[in-house]
Amino acid sequence: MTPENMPFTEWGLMNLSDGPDKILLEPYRFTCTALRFLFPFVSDVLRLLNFPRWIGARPALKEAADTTIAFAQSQNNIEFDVSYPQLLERLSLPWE
Amino acid sequence: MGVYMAINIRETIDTRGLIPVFGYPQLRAELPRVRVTLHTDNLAQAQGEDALARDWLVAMGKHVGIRETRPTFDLLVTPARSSQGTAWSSPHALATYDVEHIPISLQRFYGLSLNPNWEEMRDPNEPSAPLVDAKIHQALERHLFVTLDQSVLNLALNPRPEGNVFVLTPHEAQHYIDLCLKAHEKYHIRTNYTANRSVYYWQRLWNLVPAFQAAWPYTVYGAADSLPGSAPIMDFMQALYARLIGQMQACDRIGWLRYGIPTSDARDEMLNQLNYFFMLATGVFDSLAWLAYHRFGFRISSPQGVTLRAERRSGRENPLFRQLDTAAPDLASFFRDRQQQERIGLFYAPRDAIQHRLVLTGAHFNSGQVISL
Repeated sequence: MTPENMPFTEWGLMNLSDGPDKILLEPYRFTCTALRFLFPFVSDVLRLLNFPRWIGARPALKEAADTTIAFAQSQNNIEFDVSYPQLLERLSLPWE
Repeated sequence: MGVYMAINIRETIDTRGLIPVFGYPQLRAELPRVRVTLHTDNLAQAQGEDALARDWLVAMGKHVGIRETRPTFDLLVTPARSSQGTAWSSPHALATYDVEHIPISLQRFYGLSLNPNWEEMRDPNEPSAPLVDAKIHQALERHLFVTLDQSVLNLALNPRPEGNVFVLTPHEAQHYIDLCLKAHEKYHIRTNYTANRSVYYWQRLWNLVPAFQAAWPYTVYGAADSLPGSAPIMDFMQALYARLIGQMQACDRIGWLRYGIPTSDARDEMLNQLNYFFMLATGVFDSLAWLAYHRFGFRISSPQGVTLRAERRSGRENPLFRQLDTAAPDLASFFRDRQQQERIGLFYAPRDAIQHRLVLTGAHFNSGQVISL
């Protein structure tokens, strides 16, 4: 159910009354929500692909990779001032 | 001559085999001078993410970058009338309206509104202090008024003969400024820490997809040691991050266009970026499917079978999922999940239309305000 002051769904979609195939899409709302879905999705899949087990066939190689990962993670924990992607809350229209 | 030589790469590669970085025209994108006004008395009470965004706007409005001569944008605050407003604004020492530049027609109300008791004293027909501030902001041709005052936020939405004021909450204003900076090649990770575009999005990706940080070195080391499937795994990891970064860039471009005047040019570019975004999204799913295929050493006769779409011709099962059932049952369940499939399907329907039938078409809607649909 879409609240009256929020004609678009979370995904930026709005069904039009003149046909079931017609959908209005608000691009920014859609792309932001799509990225919010895709990032954890990709992260989950990469985790489930279990690369440590793949490389674990060669323990020395895994050890070297683990060292690199630990170093990279210590260097790449930069926090951004501005969150991403944006969560859009306010979208009221002038005639409402 | 320098430019001519530099762009003729084969002639100018140095002894170490590097392309020289000199000899190119040193053109710099000019950042538009965004003029921002903060509503002091109101924002002094901001809390949570709006308070953080307000402080970020102040910091950015005072920050002068390397090789810059002035702050990132032009920042003014409205005069403080409340003790809270004074307490918040005084330490920041931010400039307010210059009385000399206030139009004569507004000077009388401006003077009256500075009285802390103006709201109780004023005739109902006379403007409130926030309205006076917003009118002066508009008369001074400033761009963005930042407040949490709903009566001023509503000014943005109701068509007015003198034109609308662009009003945003601090949180929205922070995103607007961030999009504006990125649209003009300024990539701020923190107020005083910038990066080039490539590093900026790479860092974003590493923050937003934590598993990537671990998976990437494994694939690099695996490829260097020729582990089974490592060469295509490396290729598809590269494709994966390139597509995700491309999507972030498209999203930011669409976000910036959303705040622009809704012209047919803006609509065309937005649609172009959106069409591209859909292609990249399904490309991400393809990259993941092929990663799974090579990671587990599967054999599937048709490349069309290597897909994350569960839906197949009637009576046919997704061959990738079938093999994953044995090799990685958790991953198979994850892909088969109804909600995941609904979301994956959301990208494929428009992608199929774009690729094989029609491109998306668009309409732009001008409400007289910044919200474009």
